Amino acid sequence: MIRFEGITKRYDQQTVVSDISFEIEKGELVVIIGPSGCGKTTLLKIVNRLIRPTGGRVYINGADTAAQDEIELRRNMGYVIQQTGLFPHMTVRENIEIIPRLKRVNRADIEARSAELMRMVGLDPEQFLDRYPSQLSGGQQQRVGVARAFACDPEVILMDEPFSALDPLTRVQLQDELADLQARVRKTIVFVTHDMDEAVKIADRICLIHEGGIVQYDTVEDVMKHPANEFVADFIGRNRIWSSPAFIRARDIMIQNPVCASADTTVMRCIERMRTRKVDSLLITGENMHMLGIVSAKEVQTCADRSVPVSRVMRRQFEKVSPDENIVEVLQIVNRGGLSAVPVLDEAGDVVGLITRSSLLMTLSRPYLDEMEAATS
Amino acid sequence: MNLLTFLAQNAGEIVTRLFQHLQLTLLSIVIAAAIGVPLGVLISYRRGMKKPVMGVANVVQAIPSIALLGFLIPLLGIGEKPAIFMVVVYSLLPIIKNTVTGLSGINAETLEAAKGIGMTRIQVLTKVKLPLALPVIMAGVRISAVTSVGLVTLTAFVGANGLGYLIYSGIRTLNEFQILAGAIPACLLALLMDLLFSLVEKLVTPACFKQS
Ligand SMILES: Nc1ncnc2c1ncn2[C@@H]1O[C@H](COP(=O)(O)OP(=O)(O)OP(=O)(O)O)[C@@H](O)[C@H]1O
Ligand SMILES: [Mg+2]
Repeated sequence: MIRFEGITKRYDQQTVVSDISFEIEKGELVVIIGPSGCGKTTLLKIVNRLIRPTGGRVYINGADTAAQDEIELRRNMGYVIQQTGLFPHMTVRENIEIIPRLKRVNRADIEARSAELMRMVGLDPEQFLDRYPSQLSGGQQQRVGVARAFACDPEVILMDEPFSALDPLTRVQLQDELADLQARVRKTIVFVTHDMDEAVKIADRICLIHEGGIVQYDTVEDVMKHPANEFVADFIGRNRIWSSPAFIRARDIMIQNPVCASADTTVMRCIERMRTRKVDSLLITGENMHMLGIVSAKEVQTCADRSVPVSRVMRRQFEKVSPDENIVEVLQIVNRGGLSAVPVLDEAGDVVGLITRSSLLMTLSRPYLDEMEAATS
Repeated sequence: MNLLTFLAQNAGEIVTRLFQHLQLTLLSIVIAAAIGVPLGVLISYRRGMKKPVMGVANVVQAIPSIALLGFLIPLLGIGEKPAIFMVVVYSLLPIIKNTVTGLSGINAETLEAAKGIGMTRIQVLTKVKLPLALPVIMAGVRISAVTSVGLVTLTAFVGANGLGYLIYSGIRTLNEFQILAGAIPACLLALLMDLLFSLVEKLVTPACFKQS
């Protein structure tokens, strides 16, 4: 949808953006993030040609933006900046309608659209359309800014730190609303911020920029789990993942080689195996690690005849989780069933790992241990 | 004879002179605004032009008005032409200055937003810049309008009509009443002008700035 090809921007001797290439898919919200002065705003303004790159091209839907009429290009693209982006001498209505009016859209359509846009951003049209921006709170002003960006129903919307001047509570609220809105409308949004919490909340993908170059372009989850280098790890914060448990998945915390036994192993051998491996349950598997059942130490020890195959005593009904379930879901399952361990099975029902109470405890205590370590070292 | 009876006896002439004066003032202001505002806009787009234009305007402002009138007689003769020319020249500076100040005082991000959402340069000027700068521009026009009333008085020296004629001939004939018959309405006119333009200024101030 939007393709950057070798974008470079130099001011005199200083290279602000150097040879950036990446592509944004249609319907994705990509957050461009990085420390102050790294070139985020520059990169964004190159998209709507407020800044002309020294080298490279931007393609939208395969068309080179440099070859298009810049007014036309911008009118087909939403643009949201901080509160200062609204025109103070125009009412909310005039602010929202300015471009449709300049485009000479039919009046009745414009009016219907304004009311619809206001409702979309959670403002009552009756109450707010005829106010001036100075008569609105910061959060309401930003909602109007977002509404204006959607006025011509553009495919692409550019946002440059739209929420950064708001108080933390309002900011979080608007982030949530943007995420909800985006889930409904699926626009292609390029969002600039320097706030990692914000990025995690709203982004499909993160493009991390440092000193004018991309250091990592990945999904939010991959950036957190596999930071490309020390800089990324430091920037996102080492314990960042803990504030977004939705990204901690069963596959990340499971024991990868759980102790298993095949169905025809005798109960005697199972007891033996549990003792030597110091575990209190066994996964019973068939061919290709296909999970058949589970037994606990108690169950095998109370079995009278220890020469029978374990398949006679194992439980065939058991709780399980898939590798992609997150830690919150895993905890719920474990707590609900009062389980000491829960197997992780893939779609085919084959064992890929095991999560035990102690592995959960280990995982959950890590941020505190890391913190203490950091404090003492 | 006292002042009041003098005024009553000459009411017809005083009123005529007053209207001539008002006419000259307003005409000059309209011309000055018609030249000054576009010039100010031009300067705000071309930074290089700011110094020379403001320099010339400042120098012209420094020439004594009587001397300027003297220079103008050989060029434009006597009567209303040099009068209007002189008043316009003196009115330009405040108008140009305030236009430039008003335009440069607009938040840069607001302008970038205007450009970014797809307004053309002309639209940015007419829909955003001028409306936002208008109160400051009008304040400049107001200053010019008030000083113009005084300047028009002086133009009696080059034979222009207006209240200055009464003052000038009163001085020549040592007629105190006649001097006052010109001077008092001139003062009142200046005050009236100030009031009038302060109303215009309020009228053009975007509603959003009014409540403060
Ligand atoms: N017109 C300009 N002339 C010279 N240098 C500039 C110009 N505009 C920006 N820069 C420089 O380019 C660099 C990147 O600027 P940019 O505005 O893109 O940063 P940013 O990542 O958006 O930062 P922030 O998070 O503070 O908004 C900065 O070092 C800045 O000083
Ligand atoms: Mg920026």
